[in-house]
Amino acid sequence: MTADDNRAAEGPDNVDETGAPSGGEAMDDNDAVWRLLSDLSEDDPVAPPVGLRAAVLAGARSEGANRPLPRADQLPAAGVPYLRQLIELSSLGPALIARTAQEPVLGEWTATDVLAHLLAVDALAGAALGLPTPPETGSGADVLTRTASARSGPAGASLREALAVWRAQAAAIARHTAAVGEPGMARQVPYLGTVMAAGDVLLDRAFETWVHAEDLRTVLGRPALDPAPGDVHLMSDLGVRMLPGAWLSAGGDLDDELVHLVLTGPGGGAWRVGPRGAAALPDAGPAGWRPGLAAVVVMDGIDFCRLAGGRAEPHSVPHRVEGDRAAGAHVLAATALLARP
Amino acid sequence: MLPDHAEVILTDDELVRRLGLGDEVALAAAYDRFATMVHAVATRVCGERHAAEDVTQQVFLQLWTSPGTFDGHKGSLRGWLAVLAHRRAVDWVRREAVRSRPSDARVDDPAPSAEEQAMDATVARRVAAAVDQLPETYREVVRMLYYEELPVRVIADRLGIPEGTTKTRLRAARQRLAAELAAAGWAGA
Repeated sequence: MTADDNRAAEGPDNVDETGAPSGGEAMDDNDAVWRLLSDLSEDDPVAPPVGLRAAVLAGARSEGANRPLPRADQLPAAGVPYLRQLIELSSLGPALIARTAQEPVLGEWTATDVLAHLLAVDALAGAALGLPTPPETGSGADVLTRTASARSGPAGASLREALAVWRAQAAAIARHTAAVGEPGMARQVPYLGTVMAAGDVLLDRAFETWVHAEDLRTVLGRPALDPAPGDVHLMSDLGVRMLPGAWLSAGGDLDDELVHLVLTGPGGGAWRVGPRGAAALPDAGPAGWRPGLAAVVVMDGIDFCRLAGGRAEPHSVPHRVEGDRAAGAHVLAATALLARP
Repeated sequence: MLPDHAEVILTDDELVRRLGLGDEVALAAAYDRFATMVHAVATRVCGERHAAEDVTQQVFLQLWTSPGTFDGHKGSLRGWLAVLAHRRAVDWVRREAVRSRPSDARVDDPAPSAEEQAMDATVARRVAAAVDQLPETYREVVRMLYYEELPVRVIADRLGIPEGTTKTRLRAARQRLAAELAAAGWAGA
């Protein structure tokens, strides 16, 4: 069959007398025409200016800021805690603007600085996930450089602006998470000098957002707001899995010690922590020391999170050690090493 | 700079599904894949650099806000974006003709008007007619590539000619078509 035969079989034209597309097959022909036309144009293209891409993406972010957030049931499990912290921190916005724009919240940082910091580190996470990082989210590849850059930009000049830019980016992260779904969570991405699963990056962001939301609630005189139990569990699990690396990267030595860490309270659980890794124990069972274990460390799950977030000290955080007290102290010290600015 | 995963080729349907959920990564991927083409169509029709940029931005904003108006059963995303680029560019040309302001573009109403549909059909007819006027050796490669969607390798096999010759014929055919359509006016209106 020749091309002409095909053409005859398809009919003389792909539009009816009114000029409207005349049916399914004809639409295919129309598509062929437009693909041909697009190739004709592209044969001798004038490349769009470099800045146009950023302008298009900035326009999209600005438009997207007015859209509703995705629902929790649209997100993979690892994305849900971040969405909830995004909502909780957003809800503090009006009170922060009314009362605390210039008040120190964390050291010398004001609420504006805290938001600029979250904005900057979220941008590093966003970049890892493939999202655009507009200039107002700061520049630089590490937390401190990027934070300084964001603080010196428009977000650092106004709490209202910091909140708006932070929230627009956070919403973009949540929407991307909904779009890639569960299959996207296992993808390994570069983040803060290491490589981790995209789902863990989101848990890290949820965790830090909660830590700083607690700082802001404190300055507002509001009570602490624990994450939902399921979120506590996921964030604790990430923290526990990072313990061996944190300990070793700080020059520590776990001496082949095997420790069980039991976190109590809503969202708690039990984990086996050793020099080569950490894993959740499928069935916590009755916690207690047994031969083969260096120690069992028991503490409240929220206290563990506060210790990992730099909001508690190893020597003062309530805990109980069964077995070797030094091994137990190693675990607490390693947890405190997880804290970063 | 996008990490390597953004370069994974998503299908039209997957791109549009993600855009429907407001995924900026999907928009960036669509831009990287189609912006040169959209900008080229706009440049051809408008003949003016700033207008082509404006049209390109409008097309991708429309893709972002109304991805649901693309129907994968009716054609390719590439073809659909070419249609949008052409429509928006013709809008600009017409506004210029009456000296109105370029920013009056109707990007917020993604549904094509009856007039726009008629214009699309006119362009489609014009292109189809130009294809019909091509010498047979050119016409057959164009039809096989665009209408039958055959890969160049298969076209070469069918015609019993080398792939290089097939590509040469395609290039020559497109040059003739471009010249023909330029003479007739790309705006098609």
